[in-house]
Amino acid sequence: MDEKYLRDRLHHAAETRLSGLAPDPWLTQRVLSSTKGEEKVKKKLSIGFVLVLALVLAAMTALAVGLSSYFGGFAKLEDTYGEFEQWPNSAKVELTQLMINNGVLSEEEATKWTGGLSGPEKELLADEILAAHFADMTYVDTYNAMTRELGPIEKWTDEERVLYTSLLEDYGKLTSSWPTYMLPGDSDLTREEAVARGREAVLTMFSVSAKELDSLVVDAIFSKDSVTLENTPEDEPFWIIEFGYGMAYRAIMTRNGEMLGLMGPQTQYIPWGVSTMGNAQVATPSDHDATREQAIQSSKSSLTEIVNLSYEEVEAMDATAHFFYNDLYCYGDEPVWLVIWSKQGKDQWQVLLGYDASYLDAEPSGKVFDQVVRRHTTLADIWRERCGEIGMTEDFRDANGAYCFDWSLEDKAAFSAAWRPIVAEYLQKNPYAMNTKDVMVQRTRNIHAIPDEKAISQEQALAIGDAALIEKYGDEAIGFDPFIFYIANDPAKPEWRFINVRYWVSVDAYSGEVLTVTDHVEWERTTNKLFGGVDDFIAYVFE
Amino acid sequence: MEVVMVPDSDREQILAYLVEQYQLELLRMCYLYLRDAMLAEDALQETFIKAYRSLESFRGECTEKTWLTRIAINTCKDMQCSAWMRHVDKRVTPDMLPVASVAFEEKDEELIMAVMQLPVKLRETVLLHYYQDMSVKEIAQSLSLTSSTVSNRLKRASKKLRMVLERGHYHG
Repeated sequence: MDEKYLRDRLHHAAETRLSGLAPDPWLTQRVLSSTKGEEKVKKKLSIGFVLVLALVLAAMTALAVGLSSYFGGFAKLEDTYGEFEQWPNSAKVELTQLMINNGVLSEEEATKWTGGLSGPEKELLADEILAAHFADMTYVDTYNAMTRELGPIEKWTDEERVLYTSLLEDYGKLTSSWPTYMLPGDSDLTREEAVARGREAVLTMFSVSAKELDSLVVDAIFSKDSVTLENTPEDEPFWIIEFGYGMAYRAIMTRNGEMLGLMGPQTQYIPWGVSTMGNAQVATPSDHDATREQAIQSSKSSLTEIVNLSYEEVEAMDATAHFFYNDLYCYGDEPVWLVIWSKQGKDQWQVLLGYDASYLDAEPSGKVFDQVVRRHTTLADIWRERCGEIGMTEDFRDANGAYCFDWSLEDKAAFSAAWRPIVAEYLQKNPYAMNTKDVMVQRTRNIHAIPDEKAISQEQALAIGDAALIEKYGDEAIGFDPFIFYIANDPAKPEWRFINVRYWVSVDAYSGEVLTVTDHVEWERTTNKLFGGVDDFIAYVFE
Repeated sequence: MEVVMVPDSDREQILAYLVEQYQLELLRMCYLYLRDAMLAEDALQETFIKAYRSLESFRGECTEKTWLTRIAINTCKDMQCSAWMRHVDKRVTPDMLPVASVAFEEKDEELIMAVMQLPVKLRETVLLHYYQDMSVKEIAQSLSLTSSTVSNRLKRASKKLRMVLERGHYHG
């Protein structure tokens, strides 16, 4: 593939895929208007933004007009001059004046400023004042200027958040990484109501104490796109109440307060009203799973040793055990045991165990589990610890930075030889690791080897494969530049495999016979596998 | 039409000509650089404002396309450094691309995504060389780099893009 091809391809791609970028028929006029001393002509504001701004202005009781003017001015300067450290002196003078006009600076600073200074003196003073004012900020920008005056964002009012969103939108900076904050309307829950309802929901469903929950920082977000979950509304704002940095607990509800779901520190999203067993897929324990009796015994120990019930209390209860898969537990990759302890027909406690009866969590009946993943060493953990033994990095790169698909045949063979036994031993001890589609399991599926003296050379094999591809697919297949593998799953019949995102060719390494010639479309159809991109296709061959 | 001397009376006409000739190409380049349509439009307007203001300083030492491209790239670099960019979602997904008005192949989208996902230093050399047809020397002068640095960046970038074209996915 030469330079011209890449150049032509890029031009073609831009003309087609970016055909939606349209020229502006008024650009010349806007440029002329801007350079004739008029204010830079901004794009027309979207209707949505105009409405939001109107609401913000109408609800200014919570936000001093002066501060909003300061924040807007800061944003405009930032948009014009970029990083604060690169602002010219004139911009810093302008900012200082803005801060004085809006009461952001102290009286002492304001007095110094109005003392009949010359231009250069003002520049020096502006530098000094701003350096002192922003001294404790690691980064000076509009957002941090707002937190400086308003506190951390969880303390901002809805109006202040909406103002920040509107400033982002005004300067074309609003992206999916920032929620579109909105103002609750008259029929929506207020922030206080939403926090109260979220608190109640978390305390009802999780075992966390009120004291612990109330010690966490609380934030309430009213937006329509801060997160997308299975039952969150698509075009309406909703409330997310977050307890704790890192979002230890979250309560999600509609704008009217109807609960949608919860999340705990380690849980997946739990839709409201889903029972402990939820959408369980009942299973039958097999040889590598704990028996029902083992599960019950393990749960009994948990109740006495971890929950600290007395032996007599536990003995007074009856246990029923359920074995099932559920996406809420262990990501649905492993079955779990759920042992329910009841007294006189009334459920008292529930204990969640791994398939091997290892302890996950215990909760009073009616509460949701918040420890839902079996603690164990994964193959990824082992790879991270031992990858250096064969000279590779954690992200599967060799010393030259080449990704595993591009490793030399020798490196691929060394990987196979070292890691197939490690993975096999792991799978014996962890029977459900196959369900996780662990990359180490996939990558040790084939035996990579080095060609012996009976094998045709790589060049010969590739030439044979190339010819077969062109014969089948015509000119489209010209220029085949594949990843290269030597697979010896059958030592008597090793093969050369050549693959890229479109084509796969296998050649018998001894006879030169073409074994496979296919493309991803045909492969997908004949294997009933969905083509998820090069990783899937190559993974199937490589791994 | 080469811009050398700029009589006052012709400045607006020259601007109109430059906009008509290069607006779309520069807009696409700015978009690929900044990965945001609104920012790209801002950068484009700023580019032509700067160009208009400095028409007299253009002495024909390069083509007007190269001249405008240099201004545009520098404008994009300034915007890239803006603090606002810290809040820009740096992930690029196909749904973020503008809706195309003509049919396109999957490979076109993959290539566009690959360019947009390149580290900025590689991205700018790709745009200048493969999209704007600037030579290594011109790029080196524009970016204040040595020719060997530009060549190395182009080599690394083109390798990644070739992988996409041949294998359809960037594992970088």
